[in-house]
Amino acid sequence: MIDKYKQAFQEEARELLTELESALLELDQNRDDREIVGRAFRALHTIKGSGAMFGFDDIAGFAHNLETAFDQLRDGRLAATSDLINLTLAAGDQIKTMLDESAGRGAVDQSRSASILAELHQLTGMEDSRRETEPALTAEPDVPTSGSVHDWRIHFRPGPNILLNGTNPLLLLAELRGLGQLQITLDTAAIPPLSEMDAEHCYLAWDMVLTTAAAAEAIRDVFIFVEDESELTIERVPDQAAETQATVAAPARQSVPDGRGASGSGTASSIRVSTERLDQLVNLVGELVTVQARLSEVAARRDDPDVREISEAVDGLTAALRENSMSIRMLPLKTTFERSRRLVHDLGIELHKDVELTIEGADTELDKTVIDQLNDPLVHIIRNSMDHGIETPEARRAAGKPPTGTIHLSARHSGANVLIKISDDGRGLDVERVRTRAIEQGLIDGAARLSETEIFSFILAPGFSTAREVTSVSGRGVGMDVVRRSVEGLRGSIDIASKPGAGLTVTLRLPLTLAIIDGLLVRVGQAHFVLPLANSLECVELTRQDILESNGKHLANVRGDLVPYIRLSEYFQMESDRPDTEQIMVVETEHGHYGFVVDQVLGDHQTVIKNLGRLYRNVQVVSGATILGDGTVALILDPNRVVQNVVQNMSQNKRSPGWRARRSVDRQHPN
Amino acid sequence: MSVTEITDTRQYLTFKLGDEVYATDVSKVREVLDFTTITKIPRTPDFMSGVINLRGNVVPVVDLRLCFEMSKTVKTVNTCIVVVEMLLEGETTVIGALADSVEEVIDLEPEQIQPPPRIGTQIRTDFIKGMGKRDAQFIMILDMDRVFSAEELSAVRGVELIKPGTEVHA
Repeated sequence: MIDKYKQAFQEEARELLTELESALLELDQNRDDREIVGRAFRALHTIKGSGAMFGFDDIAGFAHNLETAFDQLRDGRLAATSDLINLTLAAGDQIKTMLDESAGRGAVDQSRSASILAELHQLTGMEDSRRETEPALTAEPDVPTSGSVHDWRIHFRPGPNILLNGTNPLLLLAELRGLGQLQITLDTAAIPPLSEMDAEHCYLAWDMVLTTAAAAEAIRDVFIFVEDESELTIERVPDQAAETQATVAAPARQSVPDGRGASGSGTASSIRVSTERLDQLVNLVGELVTVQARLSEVAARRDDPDVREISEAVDGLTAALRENSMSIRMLPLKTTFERSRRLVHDLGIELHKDVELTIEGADTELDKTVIDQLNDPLVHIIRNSMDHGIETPEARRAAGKPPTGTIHLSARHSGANVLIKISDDGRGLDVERVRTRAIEQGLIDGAARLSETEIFSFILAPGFSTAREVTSVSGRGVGMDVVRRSVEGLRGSIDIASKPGAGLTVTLRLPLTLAIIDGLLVRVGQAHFVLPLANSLECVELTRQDILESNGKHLANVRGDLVPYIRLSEYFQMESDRPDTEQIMVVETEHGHYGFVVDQVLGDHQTVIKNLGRLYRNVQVVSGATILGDGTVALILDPNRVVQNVVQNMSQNKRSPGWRARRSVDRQHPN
Repeated sequence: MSVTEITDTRQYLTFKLGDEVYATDVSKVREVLDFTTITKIPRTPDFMSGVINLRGNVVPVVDLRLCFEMSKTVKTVNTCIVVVEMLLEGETTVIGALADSVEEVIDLEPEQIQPPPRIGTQIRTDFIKGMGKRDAQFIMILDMDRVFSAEELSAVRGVELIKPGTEVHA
């Protein structure tokens, strides 16, 4: 039982630390913003409070010292210097290692805690305000005062289960007493006869009158962790005379009948759910979608209006349920992006470079699984930009650039994908150097004529990237194969663009979700394929007559636009009787609009994506498989890859001297 | 002489490819399925037959006959898919193997198993863990891990999945 709460604290504390970190980094930009100081303070305060409550006394004690410093900051007694910010960041990391230790991972370096505290005291010019012997929750230094002394009437009836989660109400009362003079009346009315009593239940309530200069918020803060499950009213006792007017409004605002309200403002109503449960939900929905596909198929065959009606209703519900459960898994990229801010800040100090990180589109949402695996590649790319891309302030001045370098992170939707761009304004990549190096390493032969993009893709090759010589001359590539592997693991792709002297842009294209997409089911011969609906634009007919008139050119005229098309049966080398009228699905790809010729378009299909597994991981044009209503397997096509593949094959045929080299490129870097 | 790796009595699933009897350790076998529709993945080597739907999961199927340089499996009423589970580069992977027919599960004592002969078998000797002897019949016990090992699959990777020169006009 207790362990469960400890774990909840662990999770909560980690989130608070992230919040603290982002507040600190923002504070670094706006030193005078009280609002941000307040955010950091609240995070620290909550870490301290719940830490003490769940027995993490070391964390509580540590956080307390930081909190004291931020209290001074809040009052303007202390200035937000970069020393203080860096120290607090380090302290945040230290709390993280403390959390790790209590979770059984790693050990805390106590001397580090001590040195952080010592530095902190030097900065704040105060003594350790918490002595070892003091109980965890006394001596609140952070009581916001409302000025004059008032009487408050407090009614507190904790929820019956309050003892089960480790809260000791007496500590709360003791804390309240810390605020001022307290008169307590115990209400025992709810205690049942002994025979009906449950020893673990709390039947007590307290009515108190507190005389204090503290503000209502400070009083409420005492109950912050129990408020939700308790009956709590805090109201001011009207003073004898003058303040009658003020009291009319005050109780209304301050009494909290439903136990939420004032202190809950700003926190969206939400519950914590473990990711495994979400995964389970999505799996179940996936199975439901598959069964539903079977139902529709049977209904269509039966031609029974009743069955069809039910099937359609279930279809609608399934689609809604699917959308809903998918959206639960969607998270904004904000947290991931904010984490880079810290990285840039730390690396900037380490490398003596002045770098500003700008973020755009942090609200863009992505599936949690994708986000979780995005962090590593991002770290690598940013590290590369900081280390090799952006020059030292002196070098930048010499090159006529502003001394402060910029790294720009942006994210936006593009069909069923999200594009994440990481650009810097550093020295960029030297195409010739990379090319020379590729020839030296035998990846291409000297005669090969490659486009810039193709040459840049070499830095993603495993053996290539770790080569030290390249790092020192062209200054790129460390760990880029890691990036490539993680991104490909997510069925994404990487694109690199650069101008020497003007910086480098890495674009990651990632699928929105790895679980279920809207697809368009098509038939080619006997085989079924799914095209992602998000990229599909329209469907036009291709008749024998059209083919004859176009003299063998694979170009369709779609309302005046020429759209090149690919006959899938030809491309897949499948034998099929060509029907009199074929269909061209016009699809938007990275390379422009392309048509895919299929025998028949069967309609839209909720596609549960199944991985093809290790055996087929080198298959590029198929991004996965899905199970159809009749139990057979259909393949999900990746239109971008198909087009890329066709274009590459064509250029291989045209430029025969270079095609051997290009094949090795394909193997190194399938993009 | 017995095979060093095999020291205790174990159960083996026997199956036929052509007229030859093969066996695999039963602990590797998850189930045996009747032949079902296999979806071929375009532009993959012939021995990779495709994928099947195994109760909602997509499982790859390999044509063992083609792996062993025999002719392609022809579907009969006896054709089965032996679903084996193995570690592939540290990951549990489920693979289906096509067999012309599945025979039975037998017990073999270590002394009934001899090391594979250097020459004289139809398939590569390093795929064979040992030769089980039952009555007058020899059974080739396959090392499934080896058959589907990383190296073998890298041979698959080496195969040019994309044949140059496909007729495409754009």
